[in-house]
Amino acid sequence: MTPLTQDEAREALADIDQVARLTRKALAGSQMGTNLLLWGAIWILGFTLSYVIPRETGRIWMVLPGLGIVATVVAGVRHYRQGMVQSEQARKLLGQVSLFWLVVIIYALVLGLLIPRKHGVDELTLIVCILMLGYVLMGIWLKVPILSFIGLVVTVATLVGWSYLPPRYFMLWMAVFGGGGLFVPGLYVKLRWK
Amino acid sequence: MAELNEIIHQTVRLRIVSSLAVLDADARVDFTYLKNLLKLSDGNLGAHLLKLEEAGYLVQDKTFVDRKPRTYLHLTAEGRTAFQQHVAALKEILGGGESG
Repeated sequence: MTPLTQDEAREALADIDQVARLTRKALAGSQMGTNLLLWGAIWILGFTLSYVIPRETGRIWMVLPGLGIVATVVAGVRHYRQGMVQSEQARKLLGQVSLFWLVVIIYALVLGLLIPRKHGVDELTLIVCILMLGYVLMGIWLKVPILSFIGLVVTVATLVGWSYLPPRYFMLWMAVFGGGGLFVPGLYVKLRWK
Repeated sequence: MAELNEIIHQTVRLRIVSSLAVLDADARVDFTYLKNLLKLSDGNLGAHLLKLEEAGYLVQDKTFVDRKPRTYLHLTAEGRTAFQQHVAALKEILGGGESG
């Protein structure tokens, strides 16, 4: 083979790196984008309804997350069946990620119910912060920084809203910055990471 | 000293192997998925896959999923090693330049 110049070698290595990043992004993005859009939409709907009909807040948050979990599982199974990339290791990872989220959700719900609070907003704030800690840890674990970034931004927005806004307006704030904080990156991932 | 691999170094094949090498060792990738990811035509991807298959670097599994034909691609251990050696050779070219 004809010897390569340093520029050609550098170009080839840059191309390898670019394709590797593209592949990782496309793989991570296909399912992640769907989940972010789904949960962003659920939060926007849930918090908006909680703002419009505050007396139904408890019932809204009993129903919507349940629907979200069912939809997430259905989308996950559908995605796995399409089988664009099949791998035993990826299958095992999917099981570990599912277990991780199950534990995070149980922690969030149990702590949300058990820890003393003055208002329902305190409970929602605690649950959202624990779920967002899940995003931060997932981002570190799966090496997808955008997840950690989303987790941090939504946590900060939640704490700001909880600290400075009356409970009813907190719901509206969370529809925009909580739901939007998931939905907008979901849209970005879906459109750009493919 | 690692050597450059003429089969892998061709631009399209380098992109194909780079994409497959980043996945788990046991991973199989759908033909259409890879075609769309690398923005290649059926014919172009098919021709380069054949070259890689002839070299023993890649295996194509033709199967049926929900009664539809599907082709899955899998980088062999030999292909993975050849790719790693090629990358090492590229880095040596740069490393040699930086020290000299």
